[in-house]
Amino acid sequence: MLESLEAFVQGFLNYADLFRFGFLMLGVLVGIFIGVVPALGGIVAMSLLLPLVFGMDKIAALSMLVAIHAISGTGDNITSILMGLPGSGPAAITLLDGFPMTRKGEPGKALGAMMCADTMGALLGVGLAFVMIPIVRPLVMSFGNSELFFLILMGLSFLAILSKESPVKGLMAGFTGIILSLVGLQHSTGVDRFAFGKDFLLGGLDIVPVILGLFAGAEMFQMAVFKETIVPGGVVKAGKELRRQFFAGVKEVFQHKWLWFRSCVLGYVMGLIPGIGSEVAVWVSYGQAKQTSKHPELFGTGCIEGIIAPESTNNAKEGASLLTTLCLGLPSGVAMAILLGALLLQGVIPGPSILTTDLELTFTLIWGLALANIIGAVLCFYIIGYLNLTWLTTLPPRVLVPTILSVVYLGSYTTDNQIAAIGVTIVFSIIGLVMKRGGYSRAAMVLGFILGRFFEGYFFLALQTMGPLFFLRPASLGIIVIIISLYIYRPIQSFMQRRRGRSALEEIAGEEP
Amino acid sequence: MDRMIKHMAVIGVLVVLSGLIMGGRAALGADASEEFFRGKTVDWIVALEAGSTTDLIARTIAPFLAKELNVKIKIENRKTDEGINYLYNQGTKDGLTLGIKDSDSIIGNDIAKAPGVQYETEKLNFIADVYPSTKIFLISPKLPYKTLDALKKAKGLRAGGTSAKGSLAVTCAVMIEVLGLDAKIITGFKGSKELTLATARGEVDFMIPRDTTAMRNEKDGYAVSLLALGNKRSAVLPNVPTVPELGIKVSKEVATAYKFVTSGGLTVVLPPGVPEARVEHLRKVFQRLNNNLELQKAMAKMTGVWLPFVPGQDVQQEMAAIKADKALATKLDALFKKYSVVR
Repeated sequence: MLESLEAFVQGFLNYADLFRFGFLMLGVLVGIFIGVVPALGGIVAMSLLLPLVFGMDKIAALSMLVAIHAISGTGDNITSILMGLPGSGPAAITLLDGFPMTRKGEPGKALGAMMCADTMGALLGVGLAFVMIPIVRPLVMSFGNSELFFLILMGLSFLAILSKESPVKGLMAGFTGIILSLVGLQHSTGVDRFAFGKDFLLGGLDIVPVILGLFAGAEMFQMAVFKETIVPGGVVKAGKELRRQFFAGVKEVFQHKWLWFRSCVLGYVMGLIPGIGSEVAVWVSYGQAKQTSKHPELFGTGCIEGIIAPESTNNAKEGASLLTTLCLGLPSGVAMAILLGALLLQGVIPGPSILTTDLELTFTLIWGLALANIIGAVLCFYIIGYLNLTWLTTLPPRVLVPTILSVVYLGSYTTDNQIAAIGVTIVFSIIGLVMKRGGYSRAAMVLGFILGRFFEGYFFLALQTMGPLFFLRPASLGIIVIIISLYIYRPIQSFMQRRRGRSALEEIAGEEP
Repeated sequence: MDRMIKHMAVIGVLVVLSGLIMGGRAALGADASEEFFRGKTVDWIVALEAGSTTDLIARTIAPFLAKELNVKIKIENRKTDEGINYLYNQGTKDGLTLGIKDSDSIIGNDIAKAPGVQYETEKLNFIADVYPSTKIFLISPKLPYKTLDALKKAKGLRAGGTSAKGSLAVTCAVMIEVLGLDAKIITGFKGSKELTLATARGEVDFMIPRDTTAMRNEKDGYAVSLLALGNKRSAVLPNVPTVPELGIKVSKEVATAYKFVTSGGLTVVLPPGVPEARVEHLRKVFQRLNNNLELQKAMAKMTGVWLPFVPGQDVQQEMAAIKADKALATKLDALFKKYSVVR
């Protein structure tokens, strides 16, 4: 215990070295810069810098990569909130409430809440790492294919509630998303579905061209057709007003501390388990926030809780993923796999033995993740608050539409270096526009699209590896109970309120002479 | 007699001259190739996602190759078969587009006529095998059986694979037949990490990865090494016995299939149509890299051990022999169908 505490403190003190801190800062700057370009993201930057790691100072090199990964998501969220331009699955969910807030003239509040939830999520991740190290292995081992299947099921159960007005329309959009997720080679059987002999469809539709089309492409088409700007001139306040909004957003996170804490814990647990990407975790988080909210009807219209929940989840998840990668040698995604490669190039073998051989490095990197978030938030605050980036949202459509569409198509192309990806974005831009005008939830479609393939895959594996009674495992039963609780919570709450109201009325009636 | 001597002398001079011309041409060809690459940019197509072992190995080799060839290297990740299709159809025919992918997937998907495959393996130019590793039969630590004999007596074992008919699954099918196990193959795991976790949890009973993965899995307590495929022990796991050392006889019916699953590593390839001199130059460059101590150190850090690159000519011959065996694809398909839970 004393050794762990020492490593925990030393991990932080390692950043007192200016050289190492400098590389962490460099990672933050690269992360912000690269994050704002859709689909370019931290993974590209990390891949490009990987060969340079060999021969560099271990902590400096790895901290730089961790910082790039941590901050590129924040950069991505900025364009998502301000321009409706998401570059990844998690950023698409921040857009759902962040972009409507910008249109309402509250971009600062959305950005403040996003950055505060991000930073505090990462800080909680540091604290939890200290507690979780002894139990991370048994926890990961207790989550098999059956439990992963039920977690995905929990996510899918939010399909109907994602639609603002009509649950039926939400389900229709969600199931369309599920069908779209089936395009390509089925992994278990090797059978191709809906690929029509097209090479680029065999690998399935990539998430980035789809969300760029559904959200950014559709918005731009609408602006072009109806000659709208993102925000009508004058509504967006710059300078002092924007900074005031920013702090109001920060305050909102503290006012919703239980939602923040619940989302962080959810993200942390999901981050520990390899196999669940950020895309899945943030949607489950958004769903639970909406399901337990006092005003679920406001989600999707610019509701601050719709930003706090997924952002807290996303960053708490990153801390947990880093812990699993380091302590179990099992990366949970592409970025963590690249980091694993960097560790190997530095002669560090990730895995359980790291807890005895390199515990200090483990804590150093986890602190690096948190520090990068703090520095990133301060820098972003400066960039947005003092450089008045929000003026971009008032640009006329004749300037904005071609510029953003160029970036969107470039982002689509770079996901897989295929022209066909641009075609996918254009098709989904039209689908997105039709869905928006018709009141069909694009969020539900994305949720179905992201979770559909996981749902099928984990169901097949659970059935094959554990047999038809796979749901009887204790951890699976626990998740089933949580799913049921989420759905009976509201009816029970309203029943209790009604009962309380009735007894109060009876009391009043009894007191009357 | 004099005339004969004169004739002999003329012939001798001609032979020497033609030798000089040929040698000169070869030397000029090598020089020309070296000159051709100088200062140019090479696109290196990694036919797997960023962060995969293939990608990490390519990124480890790239700076050394760039220095040796005097070029800039741009790494581009593409989906598995799509990557080789792209190299085959759109890769430039001048030697400036390289590819990297494990050879058993390249040839395996070709002979199995997997959906979407648009290349013919024998037409590709193999430059080197940069990771000629050994496959290891790994069992779950949760399995009550710890020896091969006990495993042979067990019923209803579960093997794990990623994609249907992919190299992990096909290797399992062949080894189930070779070892005479009562087992089925479950495919659909996203990657080798997910499969490792499933083995550690006891959701599958065995998997057959390459030795670097096996070594790490064993060290972390996720699996136990039982045997090494092929005739040579693994350099990474030298204590693990091989199939012949355990007295296992491979029947004639599965001999070619067994040879197929035990061969191959991670190959660097060029598209068809690249001038022979440049192919040879690149092969020589990769062989020269074998002597680079810094590269050896970096590769040893990345994979656990330094294994010298196998010359491209050897890989080319091996691939051609596999492709020529028309019965092999049918055999592999039959074995997969026999043991897979999906038919």
